[in-house]
Amino acid sequence: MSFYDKYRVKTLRYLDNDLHGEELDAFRNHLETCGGCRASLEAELALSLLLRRSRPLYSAPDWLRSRVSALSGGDSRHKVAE
Amino acid sequence: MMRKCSFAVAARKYIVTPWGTSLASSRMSPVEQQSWLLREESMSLGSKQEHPQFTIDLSEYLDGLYSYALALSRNRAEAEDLVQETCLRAIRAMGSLRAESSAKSWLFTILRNIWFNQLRQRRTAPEIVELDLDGTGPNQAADSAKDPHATYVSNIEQEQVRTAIKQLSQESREIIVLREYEGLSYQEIAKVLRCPLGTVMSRLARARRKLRDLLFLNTVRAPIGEESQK
Repeated sequence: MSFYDKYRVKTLRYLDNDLHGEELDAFRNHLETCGGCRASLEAELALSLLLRRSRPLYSAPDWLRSRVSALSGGDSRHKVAE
Repeated sequence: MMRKCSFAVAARKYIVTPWGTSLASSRMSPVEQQSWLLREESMSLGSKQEHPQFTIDLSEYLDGLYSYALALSRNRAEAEDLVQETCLRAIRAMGSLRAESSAKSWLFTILRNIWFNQLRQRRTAPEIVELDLDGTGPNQAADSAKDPHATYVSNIEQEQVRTAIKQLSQESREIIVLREYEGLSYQEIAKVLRCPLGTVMSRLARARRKLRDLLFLNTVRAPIGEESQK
């Protein structure tokens, strides 16, 4: 993983609340001194919000829903045992 | 431990166990068929009482599966076929799904395996067909009840995002769909894509960067990690 990839990944993990302990503290300290990473964080956040607003990306056509329902015998819920 | 899943397809009754599938024969008389169904249903009930079961609703995953299929194939007809085949195989293999496993990542893995098997069989690269996806946008019926301007802006935004995603590589498209639209964890994505966790993270970071460039082309970006290099 390149140096730049490393910080992009950390930025994503920070947004996902996936950084903890010393790693989180170190990244926060880094953000205070690195304008590039702060800008990147803001851009990533904006992208995440935009992608969230555009969910779902596509909707399955109605005929496909009907077809899957038919495949399932009219009930698409299936029981799974432990 | 015996796992069972019962379901009906085209008015025929199947019972799936880890060892295979049995089918009520069409040569049975109506009385025999009814008797067979009652026996099998009572067996299923016995299993249900012995081992608590949960249900998965395939319809919940259809939009996600369809979006993922489009990300892989970029072809509506192929995506529809992929989703149908995925659901069919999932129904047949439901007995192999463990209660504690993620149904969603299991379904995406099935779809991906089917797609790559098809590619191998063709021995050629997939034909790239420009999508004509009018009418496949989300919640179009529901949108009519919203504020018209908000709907208009939302549709434009939606189209911009879809256009940008279409321009990504297949590798980037699929990881964006799995993470950003389907919310799979990094670990789940690593399982679906059969690659290390680090690869998932770096691939996602690159895909998002490319997507940002496509969507926010005019944004001035400062070099990442600039200070730390000193």
